[in-house]
Amino acid sequence: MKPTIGIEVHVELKSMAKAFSLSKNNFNDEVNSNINVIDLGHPGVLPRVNKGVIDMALKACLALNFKINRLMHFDRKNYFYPDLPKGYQITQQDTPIGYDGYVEVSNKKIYLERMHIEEDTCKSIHTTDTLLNFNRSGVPLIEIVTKPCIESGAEAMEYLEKLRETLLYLGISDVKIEEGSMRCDVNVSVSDSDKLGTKCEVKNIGSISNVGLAIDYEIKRQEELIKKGGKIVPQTRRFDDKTKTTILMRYKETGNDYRYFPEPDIPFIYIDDEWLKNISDNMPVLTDELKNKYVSLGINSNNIKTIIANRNICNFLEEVIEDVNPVIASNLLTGDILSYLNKNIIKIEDTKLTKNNFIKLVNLLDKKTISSKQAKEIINIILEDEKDVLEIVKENNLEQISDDSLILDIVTKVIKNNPDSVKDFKDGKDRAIKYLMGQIMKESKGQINPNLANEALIRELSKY
Amino acid sequence: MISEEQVNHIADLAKLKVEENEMKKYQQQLTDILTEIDKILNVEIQTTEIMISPSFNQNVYSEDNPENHISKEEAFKNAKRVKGDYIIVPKVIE
Amino acid sequence: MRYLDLDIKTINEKLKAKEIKPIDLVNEAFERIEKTNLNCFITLNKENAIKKALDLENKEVDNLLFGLPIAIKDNILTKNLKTTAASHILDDFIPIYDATVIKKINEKNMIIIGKTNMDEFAMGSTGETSYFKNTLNPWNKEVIPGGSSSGSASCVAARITPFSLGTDTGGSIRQPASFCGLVGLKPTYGRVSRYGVIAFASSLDQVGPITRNVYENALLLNAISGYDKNDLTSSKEVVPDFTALIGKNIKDLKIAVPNYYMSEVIDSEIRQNVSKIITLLKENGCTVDYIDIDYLEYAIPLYQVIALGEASSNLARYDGVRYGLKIDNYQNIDDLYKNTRTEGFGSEVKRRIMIGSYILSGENAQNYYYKALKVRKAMTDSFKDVLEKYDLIIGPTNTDVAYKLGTKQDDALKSFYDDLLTIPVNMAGLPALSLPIGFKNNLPIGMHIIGNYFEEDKIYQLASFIEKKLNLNTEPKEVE
Repeated sequence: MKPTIGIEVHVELKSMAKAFSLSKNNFNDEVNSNINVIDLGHPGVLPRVNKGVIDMALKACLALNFKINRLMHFDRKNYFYPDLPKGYQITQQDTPIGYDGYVEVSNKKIYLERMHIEEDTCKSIHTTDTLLNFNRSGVPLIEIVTKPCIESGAEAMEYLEKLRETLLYLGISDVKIEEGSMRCDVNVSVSDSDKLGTKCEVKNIGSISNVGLAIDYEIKRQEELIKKGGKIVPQTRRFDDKTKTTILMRYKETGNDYRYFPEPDIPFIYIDDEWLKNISDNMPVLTDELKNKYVSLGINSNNIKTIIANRNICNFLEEVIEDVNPVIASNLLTGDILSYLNKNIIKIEDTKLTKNNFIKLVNLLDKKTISSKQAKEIINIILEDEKDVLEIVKENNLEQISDDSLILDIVTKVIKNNPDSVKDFKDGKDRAIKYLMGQIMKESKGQINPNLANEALIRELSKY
Repeated sequence: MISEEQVNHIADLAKLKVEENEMKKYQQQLTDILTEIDKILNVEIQTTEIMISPSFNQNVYSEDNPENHISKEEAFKNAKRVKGDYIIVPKVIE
Repeated sequence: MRYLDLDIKTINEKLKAKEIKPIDLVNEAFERIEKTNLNCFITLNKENAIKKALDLENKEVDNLLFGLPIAIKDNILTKNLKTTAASHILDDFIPIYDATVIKKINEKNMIIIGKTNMDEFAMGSTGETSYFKNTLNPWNKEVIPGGSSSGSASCVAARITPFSLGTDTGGSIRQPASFCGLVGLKPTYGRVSRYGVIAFASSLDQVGPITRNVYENALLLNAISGYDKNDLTSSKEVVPDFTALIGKNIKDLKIAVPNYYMSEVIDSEIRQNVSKIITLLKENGCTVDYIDIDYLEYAIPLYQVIALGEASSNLARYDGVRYGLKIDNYQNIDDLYKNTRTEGFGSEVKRRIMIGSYILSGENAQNYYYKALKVRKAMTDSFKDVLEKYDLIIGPTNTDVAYKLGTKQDDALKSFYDDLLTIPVNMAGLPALSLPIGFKNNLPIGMHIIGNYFEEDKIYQLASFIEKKLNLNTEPKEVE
């Protein structure tokens, strides 16, 4: 039996203003503060169009290989719900901004049917009554719909990760599925013939891994039902996080009657070559390109994964990468720096770390002027203080002794003071070297470069 | 003739109630108007272009800068059911 | 003698000379409202109007409209002044913002006397669908004043105010203007901002002036026109002085008369009156040709599909949640919606919402709505072809003069036929004016002058010529 899966993803765009009104686009501000008469659907209001939203959608179109509907209009989707103030949602039914796109995952293309711009609804809070927060009313969304070409939960997860990563790197959304800035609905059907089976929808799944679980559960459920000779009835289900199963919400009626028609209040939008060129000239580097670059620079795959998953760290790396050893830089960022950020639940730009200081630090490490243990101490300082790294090194005498003549001085002094050990060495006793190195470290107060000191010691001892 | 079932479906879409004693009238009136409207189904035209609006405008938009908001007092002024910072409706069960 | 009966220029001179004050005009208007009993107004703005008039005494009289009373159709939002669209569902609605046209009226320091009665949500052509009872026609209290801008027409005809604003979706300015012996203009779609105007059919609605004469009409259009960033369909086209061509020679104007507009569907006496004008125009050097415009005969089904489809969506927001009628009998949200809307809307509005919902439901949208949008395009193209060869199109505004109250109530179909000749103009988005040209049974006959896009000035040029030649007394006999 062959499963077929299609996915619809809604993504909130993080423009400054809303899509069809110019109140502030920030749901998290004080309840019902970012609102105007348009968001409330007052009599007589007319929509505006925020160009920034179209620009963002175009970026997404280019990144996801969509063809673009150059001449587009908007449509009204009509239905009654308390979170929909006008009684209709402005969306794009006839002319979605993007069509026929694709995303590449593990050597397979996930084909995308369409992408369109629409407005979000109010946020409802269900207590004894339903409370309405209009801050979200009119927030821009893009909806991305795949063709029914996904075959497993794992493939779906891979697609969603890739999509999330791409939109994150475009800088057009926070794409946080847990906070609702990315929402996933999946359609699953199973068939034992060439014909597509009856699909069941699983709505609003709370994480990407749960999408995988929900799909695999749904495939199993439907397969078993068909094997038993049962019939799949079209329905809407939800994923239950506790039992890791899907649960029936409602049977689908004959289909929703949304009475779409073209929105007469918004004139046509024509995206000409110049507009499109302007967007493509300003596209950020996307993850596939970054990954390839990091591999060629010798960064290990674990570090690459961590960097890509942390966009702010990746941005930071990108800004310094020309001036540092990328391997050392990636080790520092994904190691001590990331654990500091995670421990304090902050972003890299919220720390005192400057690019300049970071570059100096990596270069000191690269030249072996400081040890990695010393680097760790310095990192903890410069994350909280903008003080210059070189000054910190000087003040705390952290600099390693790497100067050949200085090293030679110390080595010869230690040899001179320990004739017994020299004798032991000659007698072939290995521990003599260890002891002498210990003395050298002691003499240099731990600041001597151990590799260089060891080389010098063996060289000098061989003269005896 | 439009059926009772159709009238009820339309009324539900429009969130209106049709009382039993109005049903016949609605069926008749809707049927009359639909007969009238059917005339356009047979109009022969060359154009495939649709005219959504007589406006000649194209690409009318604003830059991405937030404008002024209204206060909660203004927003709630005409609302009949308000609780704290919210306009409320009877509990909606998902 | 009342100052308000003088022409605008004379009033303006007297205001400038401080011979009269705005408060004198406001008092005259309110006295007149009390004397006449026409149910023109839903809400009076007496206190604020008086205050505004007194405030204006300290201001310089800087324009011709300064200090003059105006009445506003009650589907145009006025901040802090109740705006109902003549519906029970909005009968306590206090707008929190001004429509763009109201801001413009205020910039000219005109004084809003009140909000005029109308057909509920502008749906109707008799004034009878108002939740606040029908408006009377000052020419004859037995006949309709026309609609939907019934109060705006009746109030100017009764000389309560020299100016009013109406809205026109399928003829709602021109038809009542015609039935009340007034000049009413529907501007080019996009000439005047729709922001703050309660939408009936978004692609057809336009605000326009209703006045006693052509010059004053042009003057008011000057004040309300122009691009508005809040209405994306409003035009950036330059706004000329619409009075500029008034009085200019009409010789060599090319005028078209659609055969359909002079066909059997029009009352013969009306046609005769229009024919007289045609003769007059020819005598004065105009070319007048009878022509055909395609698809005119589909105007009414087109209107039903497009206007009612849009209306069913535009009126979805009246659900009793954020504003509007509060009902107490409900168990759940669906109840709240249905009970609010069933109680709040009148029967004509409900019928139209039902039709519109049906037209857009399921497969119907593709069959009816998209087909209608194509026929609309074809009809508009036909208008454009004619207007490439002709300056103006003329004909009657209506098929007949005003008819008896109650005639067409509760007839789902017939009420649309009043707008037979006016609807095509809204479909194409062209400007058009109705001008009184005579009387039948002591009721005014209106002539329709349709112009090319953004050529309202040319319409006024022809209208003012005819107005001057006919020199009709268009003031109804005292009705009290």
